[in-house]
Amino acid sequence: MFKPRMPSLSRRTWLRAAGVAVALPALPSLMPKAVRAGGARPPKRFVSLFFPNGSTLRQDWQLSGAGRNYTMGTAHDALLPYQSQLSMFTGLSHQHGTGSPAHARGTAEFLTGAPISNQNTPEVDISIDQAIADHLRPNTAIRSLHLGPTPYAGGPPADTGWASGYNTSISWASMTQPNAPLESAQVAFDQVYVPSGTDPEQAAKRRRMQQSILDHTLDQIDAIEPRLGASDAAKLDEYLTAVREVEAGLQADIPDPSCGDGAEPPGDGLAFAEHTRAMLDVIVLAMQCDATRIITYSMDYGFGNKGFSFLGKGNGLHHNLSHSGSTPEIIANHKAIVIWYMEQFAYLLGRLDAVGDGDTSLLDESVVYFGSSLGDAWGHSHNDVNMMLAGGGGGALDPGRLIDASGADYGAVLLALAHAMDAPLPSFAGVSEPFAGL
Amino acid sequence: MDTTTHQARHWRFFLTWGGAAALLAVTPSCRDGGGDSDEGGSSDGAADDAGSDEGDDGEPNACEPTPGRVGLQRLTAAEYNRTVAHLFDDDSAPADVFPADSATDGFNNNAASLTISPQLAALLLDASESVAATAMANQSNAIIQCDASEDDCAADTLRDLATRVYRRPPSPTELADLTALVDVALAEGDTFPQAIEFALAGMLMAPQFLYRGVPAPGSAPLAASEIAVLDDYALASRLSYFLWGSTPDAALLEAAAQGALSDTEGLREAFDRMLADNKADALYDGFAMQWLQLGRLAVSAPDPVAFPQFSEPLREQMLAETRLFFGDVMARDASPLEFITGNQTFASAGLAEIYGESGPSGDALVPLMTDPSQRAGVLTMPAVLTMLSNPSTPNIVRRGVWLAEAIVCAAPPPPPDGVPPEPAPLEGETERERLARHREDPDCASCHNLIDPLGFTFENYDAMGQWRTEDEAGAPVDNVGELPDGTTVDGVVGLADALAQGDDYGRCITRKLMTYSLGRTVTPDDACTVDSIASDHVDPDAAFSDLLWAVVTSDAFTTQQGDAQ
Repeated sequence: MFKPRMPSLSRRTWLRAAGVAVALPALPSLMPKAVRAGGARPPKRFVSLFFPNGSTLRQDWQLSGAGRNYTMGTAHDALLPYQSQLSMFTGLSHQHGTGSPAHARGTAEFLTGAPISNQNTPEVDISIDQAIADHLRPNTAIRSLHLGPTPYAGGPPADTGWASGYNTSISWASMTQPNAPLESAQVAFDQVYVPSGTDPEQAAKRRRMQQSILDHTLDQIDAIEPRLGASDAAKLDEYLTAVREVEAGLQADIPDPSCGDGAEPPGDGLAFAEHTRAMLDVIVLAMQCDATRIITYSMDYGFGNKGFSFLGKGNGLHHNLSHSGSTPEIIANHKAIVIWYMEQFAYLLGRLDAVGDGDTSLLDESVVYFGSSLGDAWGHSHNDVNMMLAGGGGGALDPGRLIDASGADYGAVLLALAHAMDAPLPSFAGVSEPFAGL
Repeated sequence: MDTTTHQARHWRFFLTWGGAAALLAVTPSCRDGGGDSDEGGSSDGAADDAGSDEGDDGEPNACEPTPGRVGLQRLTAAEYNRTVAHLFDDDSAPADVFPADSATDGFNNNAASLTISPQLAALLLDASESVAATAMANQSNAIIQCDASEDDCAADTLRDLATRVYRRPPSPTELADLTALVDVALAEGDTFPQAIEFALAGMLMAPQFLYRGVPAPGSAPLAASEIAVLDDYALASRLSYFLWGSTPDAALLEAAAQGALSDTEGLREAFDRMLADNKADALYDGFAMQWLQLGRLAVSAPDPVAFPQFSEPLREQMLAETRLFFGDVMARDASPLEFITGNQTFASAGLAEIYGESGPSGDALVPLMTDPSQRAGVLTMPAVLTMLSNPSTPNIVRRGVWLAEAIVCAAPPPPPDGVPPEPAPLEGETERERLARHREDPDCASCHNLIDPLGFTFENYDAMGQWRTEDEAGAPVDNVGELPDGTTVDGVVGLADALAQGDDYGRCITRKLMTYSLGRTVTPDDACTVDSIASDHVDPDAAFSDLLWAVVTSDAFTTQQGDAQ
């Protein structure tokens, strides 16, 4: 379905060749110790990964113990090497999970802490990644990067009768503006990686001309808006905001033009497992080269129904397996899928841990929020949802613990993530007191 | 209108109009919703403020249609691809790299769901440049028909190009803005064709291209209380994206320029021409695929032990059958009832084997008549039956829900929180028996009493759509099911017959066509339009084109309500 893209057409190829490079260090390893001793720290990164359909009658996610002395579940073997670098939540529950559509609600609340009520027009609220981006305004080429699973032939799945947009996006720039994710690892790679070797003069010219195109677009929007009523004007205003973000990207810093050289393009048309691995690699590349500091990744959409026959354990589809019966075989097949997602997350942690200079790593400097839209999938439970938090947050987090969040407001946890990112928002999702103890 | 009235209309609307009265009487919880569950399938309860519905005789009474509002509607990825293919012979499908369009009411061209994020805007900029480059490579002689040294050459070239790209002639201001882009490029040292290419990239990023429904230059916002007839260019766009999933061609723009679409004769001429064009295959790719949820077949995974004959080519043939069947009904201009009753289909050897027929050999699909005692249009096609199955067994519930959603527009709500998983099968138990146990739980029964009996009618078809007389437990198949209005039917053939005689299917396909053609949610205010179209145009003697024409000439299609304060 995807056609090979002409690399020369990539917007950012030219960007980088234009040589708008500045001194901001991308990598901890690029920052001399002397500089760090002077008080500078590498920039913090926020990453959130999502997988659908919760867990299996708690036969995979059995957490026990307390604080540092805790035991992970039987789905978590792959995460054991990183136990000191991640914390798991127990007792953390959604505020707005009650009622149908359960998957859409859980997916929407995942990063927003907000309820949904409009069946036809996707409306949620700003998500924490976007609130962090709004606060920090990082001067990166990409304000925030949003990645997704391989395409579904019929489009992203809908939760019975509700707009599928609720399942497609975990990131929301505003109540009505979802950040729909990229479904091609190659396209994601092209956005992040900027090969060198373009004539700087040509590139500078191209950048000026692209700016002219965007100016023209903004002029057209200005000319059209007086003809519109309120709702259409709001819709066009979203386009205006998006164009302004592209403009900002044209002006942004490219810290290290050689960063990522030699990275292998993933190619198009990957199978789901290969696609997942490629997207995780893109995340690492983007963080390593400081192309962006805010990333969300829907490893599959809410209500996701990918086939996992490649695991060799039956050929049911993910969502169907999560509710379609309680035979030992079905439970085992669903659990195998949960285990697979944990393995993917472990791979990401391993790679982030490996990027660094010995003193600190990308993982140490990041806030990585990972989990699902549900707790136990069988009953669409929004209680005790499957969430964990990895990374050191540049010293703001104290990983390696079982965090008891019983009774906590879900939004308070999201607010605390922002605080850990040095984005001390006064409130979020109607909560003004961040959850203490991350 | 006050809330109570609105609420009352809402219920009455669904009661009369998804048909399926008993099912919808209990929406949204299937149990404790409003509505009068004793009400029959065709309500005669009038809603005075909405005009009235048809009476029990099926004749539409006088009806005051409200046109509704379609907001600014971004081109979908599919529409973008088709548009640049038809404008510039660019068949690279540049929008395939865009984030997926999400859907509302099952259709991804719904204006409410179509937004532009910064990530998409960046990809749109890339696409604008690549499409403009391809256009000039493919068509530079057609695009530039004058000598660059002539005074008016740039303006003439841009006017023609912008008329095609913006789907209406540019205003003097729009033209001046584009000329300024040409000047920017020339100042940068570009050649004249390069400068035109640059301005074209600018057009492709402009809202006038990316969104349908941008009001004409010089127009004022329309108040919410006002209704305006679409001008010829706006109507041309709506017609073109409905029938072709693509932009108006030169002939349609010319008809609009002549004002020909404002009269019924001129509109009919354009309509007939467009329906006869190959580009009308968009009605399958854009409409039928989503109406029947056929994308679901792509993830079906029949069990290789139970179904060793299943293969990827067979999956493609299953989908190809639905395309050929739909196209054949269109080509013969047969009744829209044929979609759910027809036996004139197409099959490869593999599909014929599923049908239990002989004749076709090889992978190519050839015409095949199926057994009318066993088969009924899309309802019994291998594609549909496979996508609504477990890997090795049929899924009664999934089949029932699909029928409710796609064919009778009586979608049940999703299961509430805390529902227990369906019970595991007991030794020797049939699916019917297992589901009967499931319905013993009153929380489950409220919806499944309505879903399951629809699904039972499919019991004669295995997980790949083959006819069977014994179910998976080895018991004789019991295919007796029940329509939401309580009518008992034998199997899918009996179900299709009952639907062909009733109103539910006609209203449903009309509603689906309106949802798709308008790109907005069809609301209770549209009930009168839907009812009157369905009652006149979905019967054995009706032609599919007449149903499409009725949609195209409805006030909902040809007029627009304002949204200004």
